[in-house]
Amino acid sequence: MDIAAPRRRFVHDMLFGIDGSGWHQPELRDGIGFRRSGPGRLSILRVALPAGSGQGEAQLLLLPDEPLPAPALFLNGHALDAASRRVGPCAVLDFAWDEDAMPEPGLAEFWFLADRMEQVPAPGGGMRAVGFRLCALSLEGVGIGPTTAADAVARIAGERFLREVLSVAPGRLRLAFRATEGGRAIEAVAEGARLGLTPVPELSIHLRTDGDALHVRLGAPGRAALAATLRGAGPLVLPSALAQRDSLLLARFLAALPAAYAGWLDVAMRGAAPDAALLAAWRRDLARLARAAECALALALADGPAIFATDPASPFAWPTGG
Amino acid sequence: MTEVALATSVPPAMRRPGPGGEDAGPAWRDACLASWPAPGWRVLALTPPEEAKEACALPTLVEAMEAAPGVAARYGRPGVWLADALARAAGTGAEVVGIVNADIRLDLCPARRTALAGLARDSLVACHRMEVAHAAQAEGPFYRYGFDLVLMPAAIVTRLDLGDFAFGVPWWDYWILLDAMLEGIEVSVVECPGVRHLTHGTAWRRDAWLAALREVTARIARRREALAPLGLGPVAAATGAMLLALSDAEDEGYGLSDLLERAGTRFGLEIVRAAQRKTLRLD
Repeated sequence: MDIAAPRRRFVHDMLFGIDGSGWHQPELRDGIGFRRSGPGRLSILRVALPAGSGQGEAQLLLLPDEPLPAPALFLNGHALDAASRRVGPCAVLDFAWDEDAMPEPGLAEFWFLADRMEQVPAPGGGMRAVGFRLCALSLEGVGIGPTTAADAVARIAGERFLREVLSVAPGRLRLAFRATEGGRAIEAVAEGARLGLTPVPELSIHLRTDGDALHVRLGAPGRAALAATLRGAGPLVLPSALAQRDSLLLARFLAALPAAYAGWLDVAMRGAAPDAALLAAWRRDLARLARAAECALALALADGPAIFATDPASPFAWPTGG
Repeated sequence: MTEVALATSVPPAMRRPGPGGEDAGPAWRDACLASWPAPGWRVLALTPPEEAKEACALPTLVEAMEAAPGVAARYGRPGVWLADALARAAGTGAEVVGIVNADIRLDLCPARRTALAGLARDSLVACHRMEVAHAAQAEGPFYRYGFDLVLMPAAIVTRLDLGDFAFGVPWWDYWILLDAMLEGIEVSVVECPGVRHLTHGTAWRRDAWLAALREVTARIARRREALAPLGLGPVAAATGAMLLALSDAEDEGYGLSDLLERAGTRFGLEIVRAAQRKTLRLD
């Protein structure tokens, strides 16, 4: 006899607390919980997900006679093909993703770009911009997901080492997008950035694409710029003028940029009507940069000179410059 | 050989809005009744003593039984105690037992039934219902905040504290999940399109809802220490504490009754959320 195989689902109900931005307060109507997207067009949800490909459903609540919403979906900056269909009083967006979108387990960042917005009365008075009504996001990873924590002790030790010896903070970003000849660029300033225990006020970050190359330049007042380059799938080339510990701190900083970008999105997208394709392209580039930085970090920790005796309190030795 | 024994309570009449204003209830009820039995699945329909004379006709494969009395006296309308229903199911000797609401149509092929029974051999399985607007509708949304088909290993029935919970009275589905979790029994939530419910307006009765909530609160009070290890989270802890604080103070002053209702609603949702940590889709 055939046996149907139950599939594990991760259900994220919008009635409860969420990690993300671009959503109004939860509502419950006729036994269906949901949040309206808004006030900006881009709404973000971050959820834990196993590595690898998968499929999912976004359940949207419809009003009677409301046309099917068709928000564009992105996962970690990768556009997803979503098919919309009406299911009773709801719409369901079916979508899937491949391994490129979720190369490693962790927080998956889903973006929803509303296809239409409207102004409706807000609770307590005034008006508010709202998009679609998301009830739940149901996700099924094709991979088996996290397994037993056989390496728990090593992970705990590793996390502590990184936190205490190679501590960095990317700070809060303010950034602007620029078009360049043959590519695009980001000019950003990080407030509250830290490399090791050394604060870097007014850290400027310049990112530029050129073909398959990604150039990064970090600057601070009175200091020489630090430049790193990533070409295609090649290794990340870090500045040679840095001491080994400081080079690792820089790699750690670059690996933290996607999180800083996500923090910027949460703030900057409020009320915005963004160019989602551009945002997504940079999201992918930053993820690529972060993976390359972590790879450089892993190689150095595995085979480089031991840095376990490094004094974590020693300041970041920024090369002097004009 | 009986693999699964399902118990239910079938009301004498069922009304559901149909196309053109017709009453689709009788046909839906008949379809539900016909959908439950299957090879290896035995179905027991318990009837409250007050409704014995007006009980509806049952298909030959659905066994009629008279239920234990007392629900009408407790909740103001006839009903069937869950503990009674599950005990009768366990009495069949089936390895897996369960309860199903009377207005659920099971469109379960043998493969689905085998999968559900397999899951319920090791854990308590609670199924969301799929809402349909008419009997022929192929697909609908799942109602995520309730459970209409619950299956479990027969061996755990005696470990559950189901006294004072009855079919048709709110909270039984939330409590049975929480009780299982408190007992260390694994709970799985299943979304299966074969568990169908014909949508109708809610017949919510606040007094019965609060009466059943008081039963839940009384049980939480006795097992507060067992709640913490479940890791339900700060909101569940806060709303649970509020239920305990307000259980005897509902009528003491302005706003407390509303507060109790809101805390109860949210606490129930927290139980659902905890159960949904392990959600399975069964197509």
